Amino acid sequence: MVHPPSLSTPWVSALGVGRPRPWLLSLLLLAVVSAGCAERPVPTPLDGWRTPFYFGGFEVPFDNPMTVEGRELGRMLFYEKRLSANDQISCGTCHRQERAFTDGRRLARGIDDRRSERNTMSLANLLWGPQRFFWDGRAESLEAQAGQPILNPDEMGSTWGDVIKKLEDTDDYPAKFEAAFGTREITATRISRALATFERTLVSHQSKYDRYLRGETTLSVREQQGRQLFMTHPDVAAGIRGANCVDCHSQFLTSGFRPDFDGFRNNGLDAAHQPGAGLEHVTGDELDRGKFKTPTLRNIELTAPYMHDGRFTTLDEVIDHYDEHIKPSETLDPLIREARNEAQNAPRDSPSLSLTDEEKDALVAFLRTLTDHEFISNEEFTDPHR
Amino acid sequence: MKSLPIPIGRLVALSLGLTPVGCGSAQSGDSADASDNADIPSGRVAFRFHALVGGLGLRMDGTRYANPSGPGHLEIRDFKVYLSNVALGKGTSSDAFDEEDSYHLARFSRRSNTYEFELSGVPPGQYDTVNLSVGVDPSANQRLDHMGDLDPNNQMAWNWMTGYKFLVLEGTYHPEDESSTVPIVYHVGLSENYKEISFALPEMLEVRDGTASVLNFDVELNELFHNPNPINVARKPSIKFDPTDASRMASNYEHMITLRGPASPPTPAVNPP
Repeated sequence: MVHPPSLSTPWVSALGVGRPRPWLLSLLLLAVVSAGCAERPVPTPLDGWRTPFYFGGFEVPFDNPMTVEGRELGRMLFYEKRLSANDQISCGTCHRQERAFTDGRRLARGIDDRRSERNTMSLANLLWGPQRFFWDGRAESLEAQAGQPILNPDEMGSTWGDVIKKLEDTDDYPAKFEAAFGTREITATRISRALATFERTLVSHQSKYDRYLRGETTLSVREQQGRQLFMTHPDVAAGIRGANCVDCHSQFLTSGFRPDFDGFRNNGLDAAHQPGAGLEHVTGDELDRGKFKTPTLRNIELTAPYMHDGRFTTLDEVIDHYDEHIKPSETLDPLIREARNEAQNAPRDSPSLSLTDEEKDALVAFLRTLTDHEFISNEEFTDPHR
Repeated sequence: MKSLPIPIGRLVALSLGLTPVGCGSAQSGDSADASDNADIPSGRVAFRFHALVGGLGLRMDGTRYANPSGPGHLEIRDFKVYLSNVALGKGTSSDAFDEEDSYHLARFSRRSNTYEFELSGVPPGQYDTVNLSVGVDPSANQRLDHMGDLDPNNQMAWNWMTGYKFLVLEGTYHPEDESSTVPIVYHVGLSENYKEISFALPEMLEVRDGTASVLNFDVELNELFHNPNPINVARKPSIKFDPTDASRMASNYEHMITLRGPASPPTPAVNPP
C-alpha cells in the first residue's frame, strides 16, 4: 500500500493529543422540558449518558428532549404489540435486537404476513448521519418516522384512534405518559416522541473498531488492511489502491453524510429505475431517481440480507457488487463510476475496482470489527414486557 | 500493506450535558450566545459567497457548461470548499480581528448556490482588509479531533493519514461527440495547497456596535480551469492525490474568489430579546 504522497505526519498520530470540547455537545443539548406548573410531574433529563467523541455533534429536537421517563415509555411502546391492528406485531418484531434490530429477512413481513417491498433497516446511532429516515428519506425526523409503520396497512395496519384507545384502556400506560409528558393524555405525537427518544438511545459504540479508536485494542494486519481500503478512494495516477467505501460511508459512523440529501446515493444496483424510485419519491426530481439512503455499517455482519431490497445475502456478494457488477445509469454516483485500481481495466461504462481476493477478504474482516456484541445484548434495549 | 500504529490515546466519551429545567420557565438554546459578553460593543459581518460559472449562478440541475479549457461540456453535481482563518485587517496591523476556530465548509447544492457565514463579536472600527484561506491549515489538517465544520464524519475527511479535501468538485464530462460520458472527480487537498488570500476593501468597512454588514464574494468555477494553469477537463477529469495535479488546481483556486464590491451599508441589528 502506497501512502498518499507528501505527507510527513500521519493524521492519526494527533488523535491522542486533541482536547475534546464537551461544551459543544452541551450547547446542542440544552433542551427544553416544557413543564407547565408545579403540580405536574417533571421528567428527568437523561443525564450521565455518554456517546463517543468521534461520532461528532448531534441535535435533539427542542420539543422532544431526552428524558429518563421518555426513554422508558418509548422502550415499552417499541415492544408494544397493541400498536398493531391485531395485537401481534410490535416495532421489535422486525427490529430484533439480537440482529442489530433487523429481522434476517430479504423483505420485511408485516401484519397477516404481508410482504413489504423493503428490507428492514438496522437501528444504531440514529442521532448521527442523515436525519431523514426510511430508505427513500421520506421522514424528516425520527418523530415523523415512528408513526408510519403503525399506520402502514402492510406493516402494523392500525389507526391512531385504535392505538390510543387500546393504550388508554391499560393500567400502566396513562401513568407512564404522565411521567414522560406531564399529563395522562395519550396522543399520536406523544407516542411518536417517546419512540423517537428510545431509538436515539440505541447507540452502538463498543465494537472492536470503537475499542481500537479509543486505543484499547489493535486491529489485525488483515483488519487494518481492510480499514485502509475502506477509507481510501483509489488513485491510479498516485499508485493508491482503495475500495472507496468512505466516499459514502463516513469515517467513524460508517453512515451516510448528514447535510441535505448527501446521505442518499445511487450505488449502481440497477441499470434502470422506475420513475419515482428512491429519493425521487421525496424530491420529485429525476436527478434523485434510484438514490437510496446510505445505511450505517455498524453491526453489518448481523444485518443480512443487504440493500434496500435485500438482494444480497452475504457481505461477499456486496463486495463483489461494488467490485465488478456496478450498473451504470444516469444517476449513478460519479465517485463509484470513477473509482478504479487499474489503469486500463475497463471502459467507463462498466466500472470495476479490480480488488484482489485478499483485498476483498480484508474488507470483510474490517466490516466484522463493526459488530458490537454489547449493543445486541444490552439490557436497556430489551423487551420490558417479558 | 503496512499497518499503521494507532496511538489513539483518548477519544474520550463525553458526558452529555442535559440541563434540568425548572417548572414554568422554558429556556431556549439561544443561551449559547450568553457566553458573549453583552457589555463589550461589537458588530457583525456576514460573508456571502456566490458560486458562479461564467458569471452566472451555478446550477446543479443537469445544466451543461462549456469546458473552460477545451472541447465538450461539464455538468456539476457537487461543489464544496473550505474557507478558513477569516480575519479583518485594519491599516498596517493586518490582523485586527481574527475569528477563533475559523473553519467554514462552504457547501453549494442543487438547492442553493450561495453560502454564508457571519463573524460576530467584531470590535467597532474601520477595516480595510479581509483575509481568508482556502483549505485547512496544516496544524488542523493533521488532527482528527474536530467538530463542527471539520467533523471527520463529513464528506471532506479523506482518510486518516491525509487530512481533508480542501475543495471538492464532482460531476460528469460530456464529450463533444456525445459519446460515453466521463465522471469528474476533483478532490484537492494536501497541506501544501492551503492558500491564504487577502482582499483590499474598495471602501472602508465600518463596523459599529450592534450593526451587521454584508460582504459579497464571487466564487467563479471557470477560474479553476485556466488561471494561471490551464486544466482541460477532457484530458484531466480527475485530480486526487497526485501532488503536481493538485498543486496546479490549487494555484487556480487561489484566484477563484473575488470580492464583489464595498460592503453593503450596515443595518441595525435585530433588537435582542
